[in-house]
Amino acid sequence: MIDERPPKNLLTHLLLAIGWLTDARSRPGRVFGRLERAGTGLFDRLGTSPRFLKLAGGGLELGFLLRRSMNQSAEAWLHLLRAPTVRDVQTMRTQLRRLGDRLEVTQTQLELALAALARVEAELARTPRETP
Amino acid sequence: MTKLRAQIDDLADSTLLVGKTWGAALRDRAMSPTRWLAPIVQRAARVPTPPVNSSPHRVVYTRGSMRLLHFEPTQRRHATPILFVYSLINRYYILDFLPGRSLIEFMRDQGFDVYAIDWGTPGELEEQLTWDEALGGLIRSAVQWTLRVSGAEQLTLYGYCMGGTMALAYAALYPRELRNFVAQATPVDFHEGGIFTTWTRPDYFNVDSMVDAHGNVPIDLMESGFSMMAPVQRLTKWLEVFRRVDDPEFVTTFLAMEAWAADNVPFPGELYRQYIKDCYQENNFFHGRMVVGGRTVDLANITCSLLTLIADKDTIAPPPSSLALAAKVGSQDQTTMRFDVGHIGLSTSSKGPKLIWPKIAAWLAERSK
Repeated sequence: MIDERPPKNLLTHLLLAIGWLTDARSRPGRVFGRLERAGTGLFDRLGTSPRFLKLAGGGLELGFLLRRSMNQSAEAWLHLLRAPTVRDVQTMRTQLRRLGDRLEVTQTQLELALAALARVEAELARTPRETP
Repeated sequence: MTKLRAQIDDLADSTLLVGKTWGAALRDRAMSPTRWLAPIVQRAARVPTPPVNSSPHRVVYTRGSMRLLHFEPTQRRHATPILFVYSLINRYYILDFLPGRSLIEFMRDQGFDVYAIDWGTPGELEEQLTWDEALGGLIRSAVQWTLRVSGAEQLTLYGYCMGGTMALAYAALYPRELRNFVAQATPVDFHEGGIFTTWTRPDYFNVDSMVDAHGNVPIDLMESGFSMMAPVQRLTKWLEVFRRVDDPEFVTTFLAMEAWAADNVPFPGELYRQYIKDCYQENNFFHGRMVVGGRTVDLANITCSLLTLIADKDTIAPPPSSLALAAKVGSQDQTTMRFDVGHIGLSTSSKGPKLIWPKIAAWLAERSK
């Protein structure tokens, strides 16, 4: 793919230095490695802890319920003022994008149909016509 | 003196870039580290934007946000076309990763007529999309258009990840036009689904409240779910790129992978609701109890040749979850291949074009005459 190594700039040196400081072959890197393993272990325990999952799931559910009721009341107010909601604008945008897609695909399908027609015409031209 | 000036200019440009990048990430409240770090790494490594998804193709059919893409071979050598069905999570172009590292490009160069479903970006109109419409409407239309354009009577359905689960359900309901089926890293027994099985248990996760609140599952919720799988590594993997920032090939591959991973799309809400309930929570898909459009999805209806691809280091579709497929289908001609890579590695690993894909292509070539 790419064989030549470009010249290093200041940013390259900076990132290489951060990389070295966190590399297991350097002393600070070994400390960093221990912290990383401890962090991983902690998240692994959290991710499988029934108490944490129950708590997180409950929090998420509460957030969803709150969001649903807020959306409903905001949309009700906007409709009352006869103003378009974010959803209305997004739907319009989606429909426009799809119209563009349909145009593109209609062109491809017409090309395919023309190619098929050309094949049939060539076939007919090759077949000698029967005379009565 | 000139060198010093160049260094000062470089420092000023770099500071400006960091400021701009972080400002934009902060403004968008970006959660993905890619938004914060990728432009900086790209500048430090002096590599161009990775050319992902660059195989030439044309759109042959579209319905809703879905597009059917055609990757035409220069010289077609096999009668049976391949239709790729990718997951609704992330975008299909992981199958067309980088030039020389693209599964689609590889298959096309082997003389296969290749098609792929791009689910696009689901919007408001996809909130009500059901499994019935996705299988009987979208995938069925894609299959028919693939057969029509390629002039074949049967095809190879190639499912990947959750796309594999959907394609299996399709194959069980509409088996007639299928010559072969390839299930790549496809979860089948969802109670062997690793950490996702735990997280989606009904007492921890109320999928109804999520779908009712959001319609489609929003990108940041999907992202935070995947981040929680390995939150520390999600950040520290960037340190490995810092260490190898003077290796352009490594940086290009890494940035390409991160760009794809950060290119999330919302998940259609109703489809997600049934997916979580029937697959992860009840395991109905595996036990032949899942009902789609009034019909039961029975994997025993699948009788075409079957190739199961397992990634031994897969944590998203762990091997036991995918291996369960063999005993469920009615196919007589079955092959299982295992590779020492992770879930994504089957499509992007450097082992792909050398060790993995030639075996898949050879298996398919024998069955695509």
